[in-house]
Amino acid sequence: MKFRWPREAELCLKSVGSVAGMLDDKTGKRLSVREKESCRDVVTEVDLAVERRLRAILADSGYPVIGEELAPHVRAQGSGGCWFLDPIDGTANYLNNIPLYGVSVGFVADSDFVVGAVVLPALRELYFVSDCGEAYMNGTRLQMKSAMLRDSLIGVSFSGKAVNSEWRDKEFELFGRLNDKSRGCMRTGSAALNACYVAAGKMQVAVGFNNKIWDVAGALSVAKAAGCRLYCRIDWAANRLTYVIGSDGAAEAVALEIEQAMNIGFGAGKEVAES
Amino acid sequence: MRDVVIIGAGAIGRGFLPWAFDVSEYRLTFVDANPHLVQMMRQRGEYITYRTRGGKYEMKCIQTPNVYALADYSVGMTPDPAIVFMCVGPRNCASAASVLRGVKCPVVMCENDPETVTTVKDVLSVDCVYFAIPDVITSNSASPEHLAGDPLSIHTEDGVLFIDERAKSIEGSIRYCDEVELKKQWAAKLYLHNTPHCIAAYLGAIIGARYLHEAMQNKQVADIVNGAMNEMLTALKLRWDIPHDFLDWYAGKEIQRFSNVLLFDPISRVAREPLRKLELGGRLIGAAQMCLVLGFVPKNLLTGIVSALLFASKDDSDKHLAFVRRSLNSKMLLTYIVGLRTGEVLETVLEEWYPKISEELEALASTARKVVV
Repeated sequence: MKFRWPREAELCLKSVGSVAGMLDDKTGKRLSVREKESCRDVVTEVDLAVERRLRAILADSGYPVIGEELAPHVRAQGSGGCWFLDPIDGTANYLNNIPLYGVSVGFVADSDFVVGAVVLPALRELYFVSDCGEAYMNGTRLQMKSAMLRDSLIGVSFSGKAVNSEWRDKEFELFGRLNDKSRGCMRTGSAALNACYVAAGKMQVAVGFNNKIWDVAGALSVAKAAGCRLYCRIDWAANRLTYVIGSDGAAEAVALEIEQAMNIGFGAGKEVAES
Repeated sequence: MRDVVIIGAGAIGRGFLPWAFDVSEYRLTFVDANPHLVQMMRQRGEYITYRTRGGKYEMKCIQTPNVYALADYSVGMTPDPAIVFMCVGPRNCASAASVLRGVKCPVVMCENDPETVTTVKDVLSVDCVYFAIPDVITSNSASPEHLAGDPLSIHTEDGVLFIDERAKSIEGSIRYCDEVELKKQWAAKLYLHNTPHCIAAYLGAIIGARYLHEAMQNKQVADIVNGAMNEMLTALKLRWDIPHDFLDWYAGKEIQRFSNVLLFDPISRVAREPLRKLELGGRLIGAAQMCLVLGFVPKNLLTGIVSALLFASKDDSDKHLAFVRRSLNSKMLLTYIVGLRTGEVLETVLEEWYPKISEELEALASTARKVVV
């Protein structure tokens, strides 16, 4: 089947490529930091500058743009597609000179994650969906390999603010349980990085509990294009989703654990359950 | 009669290797990943390989009673082979090697990358894997007239096969050599053949040529290729302890080979996988870095690098290169896709020269189009 979004793929990669250098050097710079939902959810002037640049480029596409830092924050209804962007996913890491952060741009069409690009500038890694719908990291094609849960590394991303304390307790309990059933769970501080690492086979599963769609739209598109299995529940109005993405076998096992623990149902594979 | 297994029935495997030994003394087994090729070889039962020598063709008819698809083959199906040749392309070695699990005879890597020896050793957990250098240009095709008679026919030069002497197990027109000689031959092949050869192909693609000899008939292309060859000669003479008369002789014969009108070597074959040709430390980037370290800017090599970045073929496994080139600026292209470090000399020089070289190559393409019209 011919890929329907070559123009969007090109614009997506172009936008991410144009801002990669903006995150490069903050040596000696004193960044102002503002907390949002919690002390873990912070924003700097670099976030804002990057988002402005991204919005300026994506505006040419004719599709609505929803970004983390600047208005509007509501998904347009009835549109054929929408951009979701996160100017820096992993801002806390960025502030602390931990190289696990990136810029993420994703395009969602018909409730599906179809196009994405994520740059991790400190690691010199660029993940993207090509104009043929294939996934790449720099020059190398990415293709998912199957894995069992016991052989898997799992990246987990929690929401900046707990939905409620009972849900949060279950999330942490699941983290421990999955940790003991696998090669280990990691909290890297960047949901986009986790999903990109899954696409690249560095991790085998990425999980996000009530993440913002803009955090992961780009990376989920890349991971899907690499052939990874996606299970997710999306609340478009709230711009949130809970998801599992990863290798055949391991992702299904993790999704099952979460369904049972949280008493929720995912859409399997290409289907997306909507809240 | 002993068996010889050839993994990869392409240019080297089908075209050149049967000239390297007396095929009447061995049973040949061909293994290839292309099911269409396997089917054709089985159906036809034979093919012709043509060798160019003294301006004429010599021909050899090769019987193909034993042809397997890679997915269906394991080395146990060939009892006690004398030797296994692998010529599948460096990117395919790891996956192709799995069919050789349990091999006991020498495995000879006729690949354009000595690292493939380590790769295959790791896959097979054996030590009997050795490097070989087919010093030859072999097409993966033939002239239209020959193809009309035999769609499997293939053209090769009269080349030389250098093999690590530790792999000696068959006789033939083979030069078994020690490590020192092999290193010398590899340095010459990598920088005096592979480097200018791929540059000729990328420039040929820019002017719309179909075969490499057509590219070399364009004066501007020939000048750049000759210029790159001279840059490599300068670098090798400064950097390596290799006799200069050998290097000069080698360079001279290469330019002649590129212009061989009998070979019908497709640009698409020589130019394929541009990102592999652009890999760090390789025939383009490594070559240019060597020149810069030695104190001179290799303008023709830089032109070769940019021409490789401009290569676009929908059928190539690196087809996404055209997409990233459209989407990214030159800095992103050089640092993320090629992998150069920001601020390193080659990155800085290429960024500075990229626009000018791109204009020159556009002018080259434009001039070539006018000639056609």
